[in-house]
This record gives sequence, C-alpha cells and structure tokens, in this order.
Amino acid sequence: MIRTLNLDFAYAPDDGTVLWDINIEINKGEIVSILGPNGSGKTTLVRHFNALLLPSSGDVYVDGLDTRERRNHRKIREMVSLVFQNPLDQFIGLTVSDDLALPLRMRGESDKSIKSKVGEMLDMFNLKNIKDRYPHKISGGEQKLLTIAAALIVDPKVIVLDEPTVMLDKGRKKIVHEHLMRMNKEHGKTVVISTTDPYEASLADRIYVIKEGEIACSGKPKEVFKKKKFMEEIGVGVPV
Amino acid sequence: MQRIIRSTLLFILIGSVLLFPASGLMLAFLVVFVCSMFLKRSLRRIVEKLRPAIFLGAVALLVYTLTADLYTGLSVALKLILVFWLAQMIVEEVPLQRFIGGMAQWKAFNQLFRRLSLMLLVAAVSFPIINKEAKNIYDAHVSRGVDFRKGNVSEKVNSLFYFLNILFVKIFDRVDALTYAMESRIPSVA
Repeated sequence: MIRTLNLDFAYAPDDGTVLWDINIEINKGEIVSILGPNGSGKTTLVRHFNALLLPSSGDVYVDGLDTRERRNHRKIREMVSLVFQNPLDQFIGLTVSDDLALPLRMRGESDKSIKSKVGEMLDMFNLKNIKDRYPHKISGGEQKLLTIAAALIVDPKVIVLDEPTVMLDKGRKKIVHEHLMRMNKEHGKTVVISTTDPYEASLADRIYVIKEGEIACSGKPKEVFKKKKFMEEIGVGVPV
Repeated sequence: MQRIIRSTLLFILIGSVLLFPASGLMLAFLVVFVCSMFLKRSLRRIVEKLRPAIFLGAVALLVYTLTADLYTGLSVALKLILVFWLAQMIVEEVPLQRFIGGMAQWKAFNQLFRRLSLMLLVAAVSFPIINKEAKNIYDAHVSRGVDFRKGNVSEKVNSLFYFLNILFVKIFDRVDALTYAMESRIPSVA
C-alpha cells in the first residue's frame, strides 16, 4: 500500500539530512508502528505518506502512485488521511460538527449525505453532546477523538496517526486504541501509528524502529522487543 | 452621526482601494463592505470584533514602515485588516459552513471559489487562535513575573517586544500547521 525506496529527506538543501535511506513497506490491512524517540524523524517520515513532504532523493509510492507526481497528490490524499500530533493544528471548522463536515462539503457531497456521515461519526466517537462547541475549547481527549473521526469521515484506505495518544490519560488512550483496532479489524483500514510509546507500538502487526532518521530495526513486536538493551539504549525501551 | 461615520469609512475604503490596487480581491472587499452598510450593522460592534486585527495591522504598519517604507506599511496593514473584516462580516451574516458549501456548488468558477472560501475560513479560524495564543503567552509572561503595566516606557516597550515576538512566531507556526492541515484534509482544493 505504501512503499518507500531509499528515501532521504532534508528540509532545505543546506540543512542537515533528517531522513536517511528509509526503506519501508506497509501492506494493505496491516497495522504498522513507527517507533522512535523524540526528534528521530517520525513526523517527517509520516508526512511523506500523504505527499505533504516530498523526498529529497529516493521514492515514495502510495498504492502504486508516485508522490513526486503532483497530479497524484489529490488521489493520494484522498486515500491516506493524516492525524496530526497536535489536534489544534488540524481543526478547520468553527464547531465540532462543522469540522467533520467541511471536507465533505468541499467534495460537493449533498447535505443529506453529509448529515448522515457526520451523525454516524459523532455517535461512533461519542461526541454528540459537544457537536456545537468550538473545537479549540473541548477537552484534550475529545480533541484527539475528533481528529480521528475527521480523518475517518472521508473514508480513507489508510489512516496515519502521528503520536495519537500523546498527553492523554490511560482511559482515553484505551479508547483511542480500541477505535483504531476496530477500524482495522471491522473496516479493513490500514493503520500507521507513529509513537514514542513501546506499548502502543506493540499493538501493531509490525514495527519499524527509527533512530536519528534511520531505520534501526524492524519486525514483529515480539522480535523487536527481544532486543531490550538496544531499545533501552536508543531511548524508547520495551513495554512493561 | 452613524451615517456620517459610515460614509466617511466608505470613502476611506474607496480611497484605500484606489491607492493600493493590489488585486481584484480588494474590490471584493469593497463590495462586501458596501453590502454590510445596507445590513446596518453597528460600527461599535465591528470595531470591537476587529480589535485584534487592528492591533496586528498597527504592528505590521510599524514593522514595514521601519523595514521598508510607509506605503508598504500602509498597504500591508490595510490588507490585513480588510481580510479579517471581510471574514468577520461574512461569518456574522451567513454561517460559514453554509457559505462555503454554497460556494463549492458553483460549477463555473469552482476551483476559484473553493480557494477563496478556504482563505476566508483560514481568516475566520485564525481569530480565536490568535486570541488564545496571545492569552497563553500573556499568562506565561505574567506567571514568570513580567508586569506590562509597571516600569518606565522603555521597560514597557521591551516587555511588549518580547510578547509580540513570541506571538508572531506562534502565529506563523499555526498558519504553517493550518496549511498542512488544509492540504491534507481538503485535497480537492490543495
């Protein structure tokens, strides 16, 4: 579904390289984690998955479409929804239900279809009682759920989450994880999670560990977390 | 009295558009402003709502006058205020979602209208963000012992400078993030 080939990236030609020779393959219907400490390049990497960033060298393919081709961007972004690390960065509506409805409106969907899809998402994520509130004024947990709902409402094939549970309490983390699992198992969505939390990473089918912009190791959670000393050294540890 | 002030403002606006014919968008502002005259909205309310934009406009005027020239300063400040003004008027008259939905239906100039509506949306969404960021920074300064009311003029200007500096950095960060969000969430327009 998503494939990177020898991906290198620098924000500017004279800036340092942020990503080095990244080779990743994410298959359809999989849950994949990108695990690494802060500043390791996770956010930069996942932004390549829906063509928000383009490689300095190497290639990124989404469902066979090259992200370098500008004409592919619309298709790629319709296929891959990105949930930003900071929810406040991605709200574009003036109320919770507006925020969910806006991308559908811009697609030119009918009012009836929009109403039904928004209602479904509000129910699914238990946001109905705050649907008329301003997104910046709801609690952190609700904001996170809203961002996930907003990503799902456009029915993407892949949902990419950049640190989805950062700053959430244990209860909220569990709710987010349950939703992601359900999206994968029941709706067949491919899920990519970028995280610093080894427990969160262990929920995935496969893990890529990233360190200082390079893939340090990869494999199934059990295989990766066997290297306890190495994981401690790079600053992420293993699940308790 | 209200009518005189309204007419004066209208003349100022027409004069500004003639002086700074930067783009056709300025004419669009003028049209909306004239429409708002017919809607008989309270001037006090307009000014109250525009206070952050006027403040930013004044800062932009100062910065651009010092770094470039007065003409550029006035032009940038005016454009800034007008963008906010237009967004505020439209948001007050028509629910923004309905407005954008309506614009998206226009087949003839589909892409143009969608882009324009998104620009308005960014302006509308930015209002509360700027307010919130300003309050957060102000609170952080006060909690660390800065008092904007105490001290002589130079001390006040100094603390205000740091406040504005951080505020601008934050606003640009937010705008950057919002651009990414728009591109990611509304691919049809990006």
